[in-house]
Amino acid sequence: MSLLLNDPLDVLHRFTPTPFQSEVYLGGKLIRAESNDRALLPPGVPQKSTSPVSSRHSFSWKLIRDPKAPGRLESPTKLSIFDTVFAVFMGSACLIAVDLEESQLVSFIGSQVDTGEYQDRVLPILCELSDMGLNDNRI
Amino acid sequence: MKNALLASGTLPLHTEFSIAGVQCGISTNSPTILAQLSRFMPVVSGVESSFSVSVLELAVGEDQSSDMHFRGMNHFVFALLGAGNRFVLDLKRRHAAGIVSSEAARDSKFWHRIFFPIVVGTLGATFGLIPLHCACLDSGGEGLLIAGNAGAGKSTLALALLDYGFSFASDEWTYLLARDGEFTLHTLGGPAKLLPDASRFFPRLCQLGLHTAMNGELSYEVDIATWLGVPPITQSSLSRMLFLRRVSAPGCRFTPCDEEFTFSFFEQSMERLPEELLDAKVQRSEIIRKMSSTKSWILETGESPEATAGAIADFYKRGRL
Repeated sequence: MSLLLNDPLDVLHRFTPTPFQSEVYLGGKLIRAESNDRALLPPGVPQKSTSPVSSRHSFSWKLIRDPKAPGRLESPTKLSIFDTVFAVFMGSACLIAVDLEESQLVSFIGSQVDTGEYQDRVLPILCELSDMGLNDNRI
Repeated sequence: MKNALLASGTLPLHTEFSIAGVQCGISTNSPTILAQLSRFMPVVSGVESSFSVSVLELAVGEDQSSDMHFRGMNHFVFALLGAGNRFVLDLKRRHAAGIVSSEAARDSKFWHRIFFPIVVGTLGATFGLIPLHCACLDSGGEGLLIAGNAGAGKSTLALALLDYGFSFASDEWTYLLARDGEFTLHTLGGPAKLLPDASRFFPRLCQLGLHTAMNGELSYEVDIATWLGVPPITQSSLSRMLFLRRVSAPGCRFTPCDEEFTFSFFEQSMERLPEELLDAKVQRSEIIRKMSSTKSWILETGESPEATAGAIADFYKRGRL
């Protein structure tokens, strides 16, 4: 189930509610993910400990299921914009941007991208981009 | 994965241009792009850029869709502008970056009518350039803004006012720049867009073909320089504002409106900005607050564009507007 509300002053869908949230460890790093579609939340080991994790070692993901995004996944093109800012386009069906300074990743995923495709083709890219930030490495 | 390198120092060509009263730095691998941009933007130097663009001309893959598609989240905006043209706008860094096809690279209309209106409209709030959905006319260096809801007839009225000594600046989007306590109005010099029924008032429009706009609307695109024989005004100073309302009753009525009305009208019509852009949001509200003290009237009209234009000109002559 996904939520997408229309607001005439939010033509870019910036304010899509993201009621589904999870905190998981991926590759030993904490991902704080929120989404309007539970199926987009990353699988992983739930955070068990209540011990605080510094923001330097965590990453925020906002994942929006976008029923109005047309088309299917295309082969990815990565834009290396700054040393700390990257984007990946996979057609209109998948848009990803990451800001390593802010430890933020955002993504819009079209309705024609099914769960299998998402997990096989999109999620590895999200992890790769975030892992760069968490390890402070560069591709 | 194809990797387009756009970071500083990776693109060999750089030029500073002036657009909408501000300076923009362009970095690219394409002399063709710089040549097309210089057709509608003067090259400048010496002051700090308000925003920057890095763009790579790249061969288009066969599987690239030709959609126009826009989305935004946090400080990022994605813009897909047809086959092979993909951009990300970073509002935190006042930067647009992307790749374009060779076809788009050599198409000045792509840059003038699609790319820069989107980039200036999106990034502008971060450096005090506010896009207003208004027509703009000029009379002796004084700018008249005409606001109104979609379908109120701003474009048709703007063209009708040209018969009454006004100069055309814009029929749809005007950019308000606040600098050193002064407000200047800027346009990008694009064509006027009139809905098909405007041909009732301007039969000459029928000689032009109908175009499909980015929003899917059919319209006549009027190249002002060709239509009038003189290029449109691209800068004016904010002097007066009219809020246009179509009514069924005949006649034209001018009612002065207060600052609060003007502020609310523009503030409520602005695109919502996220919390990450709080500074831009606050600055934008302050600018709108200050510009709301400009002399403004609500114009209710049940008349044709020609008769309404005549009433505005008469009101102007009598010194009340």
